[in-house]
Amino acid sequence: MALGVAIAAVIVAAPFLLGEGYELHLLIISAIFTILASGLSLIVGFGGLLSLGHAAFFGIGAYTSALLFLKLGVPMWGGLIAAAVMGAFAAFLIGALVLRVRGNRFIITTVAFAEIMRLIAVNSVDLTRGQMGLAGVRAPELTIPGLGTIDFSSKTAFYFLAVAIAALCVATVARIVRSPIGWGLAALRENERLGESLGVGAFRHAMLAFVVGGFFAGIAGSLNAHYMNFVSPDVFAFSVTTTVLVMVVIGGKTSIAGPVIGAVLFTILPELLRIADQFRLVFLGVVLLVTILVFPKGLVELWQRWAARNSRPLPSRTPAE
Amino acid sequence: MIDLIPQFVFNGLLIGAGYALIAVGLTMIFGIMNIANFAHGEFYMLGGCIAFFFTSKLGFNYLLAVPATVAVVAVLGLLLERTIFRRLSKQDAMSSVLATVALAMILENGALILWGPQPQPIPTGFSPMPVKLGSIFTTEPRLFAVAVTFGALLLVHLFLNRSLLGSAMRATFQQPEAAALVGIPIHRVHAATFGLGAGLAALGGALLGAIFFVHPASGGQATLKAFIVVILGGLGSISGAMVGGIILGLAESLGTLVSSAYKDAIGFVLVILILLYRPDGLFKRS
Amino acid sequence: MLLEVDTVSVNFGGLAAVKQVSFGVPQGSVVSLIGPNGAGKTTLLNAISGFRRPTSGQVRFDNASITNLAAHRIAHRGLVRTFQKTEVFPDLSVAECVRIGLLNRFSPSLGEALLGSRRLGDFTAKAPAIVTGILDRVGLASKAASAARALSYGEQRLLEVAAGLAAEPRLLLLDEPASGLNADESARLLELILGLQKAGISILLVEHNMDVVMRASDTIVVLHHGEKIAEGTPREISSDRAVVSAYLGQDWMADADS
Repeated sequence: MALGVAIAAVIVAAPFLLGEGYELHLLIISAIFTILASGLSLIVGFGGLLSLGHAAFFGIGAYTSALLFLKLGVPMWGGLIAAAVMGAFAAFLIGALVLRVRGNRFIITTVAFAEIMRLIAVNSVDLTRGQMGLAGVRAPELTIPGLGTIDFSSKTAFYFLAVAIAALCVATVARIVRSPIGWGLAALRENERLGESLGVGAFRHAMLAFVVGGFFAGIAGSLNAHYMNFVSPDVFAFSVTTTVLVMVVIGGKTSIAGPVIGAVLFTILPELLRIADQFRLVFLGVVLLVTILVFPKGLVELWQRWAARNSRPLPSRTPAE
Repeated sequence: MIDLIPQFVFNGLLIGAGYALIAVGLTMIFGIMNIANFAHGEFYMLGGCIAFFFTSKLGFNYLLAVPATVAVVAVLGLLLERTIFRRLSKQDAMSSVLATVALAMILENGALILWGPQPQPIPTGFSPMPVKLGSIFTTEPRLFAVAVTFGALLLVHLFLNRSLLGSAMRATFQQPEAAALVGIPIHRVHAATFGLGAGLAALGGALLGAIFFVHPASGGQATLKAFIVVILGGLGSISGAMVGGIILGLAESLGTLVSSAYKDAIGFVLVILILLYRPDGLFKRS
Repeated sequence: MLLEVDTVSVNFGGLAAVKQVSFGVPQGSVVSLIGPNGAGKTTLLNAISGFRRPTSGQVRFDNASITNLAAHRIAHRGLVRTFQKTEVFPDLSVAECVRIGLLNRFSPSLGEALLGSRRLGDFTAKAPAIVTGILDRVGLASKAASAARALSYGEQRLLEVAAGLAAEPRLLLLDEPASGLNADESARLLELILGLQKAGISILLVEHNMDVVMRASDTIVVLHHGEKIAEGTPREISSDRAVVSAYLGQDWMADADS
């Protein structure tokens, strides 16, 4: 509890301590990745479904929001909702197509889908300006009667917005996972057949996780578009998916805090190390490999092991959420 | 237009045979080890880059560089199986697939660091003069590639059906538990599978790299294409992978007659159609 | 008749694993399905419980056809099964495993889970007590917090039954529950089965342990090479020549009267 309050205090104080520079920018990006990672953890971690196309929903959200703004003047508030809905809808379509028989066909289809979206974005030059991307996607303003107007193109304002939305997303994932739906997801990932014999519909739970994950990825896409003021087909790149995946797996894919830790760590760490892109990605790959081999439950597991050794012995129990 | 068709068919067969080579290895790894290998395209890429290294930097003759490259990558595959995938086989299936994703990141970016992003042609020593076969224009490297690829596919077919190890691999493919019970050395089979799969992909890279350029970022596309072929052929069929590869090559080549922009999309469209209407692939599991 | 199996056949390619088998499980009774290995018992169980599509024939539960329903829908109707090779949720605790079964009684929608509801609140509040009650009944209460994978084989079997009970079955299909159990554990299992019957749960039992079968069953159905070769009370079956020669062995018949 005390830790929670301390963390909250740091989060609130950050922009005033750091100023509006590069550090705050990194925190905003961390918040956006937190939304992506948390949503993906629902699919990959809690649902046990290896989706390798998360970038697809991120990109769909980004383009939806950007296009609504540029073509129809819809501010980010509307864009956010539309992006979330489109992300969820795309997940629904893909899920309906391949989630009945989960497994390798599902994995490959998610990869193919993200790549198809990328090709469409690259080639629909009339709509998306292809590789050149869409610029001028402005952050919104909010007029509160009596208080004035908040301009979210200020980093500080956008920071608070992003963190608030991220907190909401993480809380939602936590709520789902701790509810009986979460029990059903555990059954799906631990032993699907046994779950079915006990009345847990595997397809229904898989769809739920997948669609909610798509919903959040859409939100992240919209935030990204309006913060960076720019969208290009690179939002669909496989490296986006792998980055989020690394965050989830290393943070701890069946935990609530894990993806958050992973998102912050792997946004900030590569920047701290000041290394070129390729080295960063090799480093990420090695860390991912080591994690899988040595502590598959992620950093959260390491933390729990350390905490267990330093406190009174508890009854033998593997934590599940 | 019509008289161009034989040309495009020939090109399609060339690319298709290359796809087949890569996809066969992927199918074997998938069917025997139950791993969707997302690093498979990187072996193709390494085939091209290492062959380039042998010929350009070490001055090997191309005809020597090709088998040398295949050997190097095959050994790499054996090592990877021994150190990584054997350990992960005790965990759930997702761990192995995640490991291949990590491997792909390491190999692709490692290659970018070693060789830089510039596409390079592999010096083959063949004459660059066009060769005319009937109405088809081609070059010596292309003929060489077609011959070797089809030859390799034939050898693989014979190996799987006539040799002891090949039969062991086929048995494990169809009935992994029964194979273990009967005393087939599963570890050895897995090692051979991964090594062979990597080697075949590298062969494709070394051959096609002499015709098109090699560059370290080409692995991702190759992986994608390989998976498309595997889906086309049915996730569990080796002969399906061979035929599927050729079909994809032909479809892409003939598709460029219609529109060259969406050439890469053809494969994906086929995948969607297959998943909608024939989820088991065009061919039933053999 | 709670469960009616009506001329069900199951073919795999060329192999006929189950050939036109018909029998019924009356409400409140214990029916055993016996037969040599390979007789098609598990295949038949799979066909009844939705894990395999019957090639022909019908399965009716409570007078409604369940022949082509998905397994989890069949479970919702009250027909719950266990597996021949013990299945658990390895990373969950014993209590959490049993809790999964409760989802068969009530599963909230996404909206309900996010916004909360009275039903959901009641359900989550009562769940721990129900789980503890079931664990007491099967004798696993002391292991509630242990990881499922840490249990002995016999305990895991009991755990599987416990999870099945949490699902509130009207008919429980038990696939070789006594296999791998020692005499003590088998006796506990027998007691459990009879107790369940007393509580109103009908049982379809596939078993090799003849002691348990003879003592627990009201009716025995005998399968051989996929066909039903006999059906009757334990006494009738143990003196049926066809059954004895196919399966039980001459020595057993002599012991049956003692």
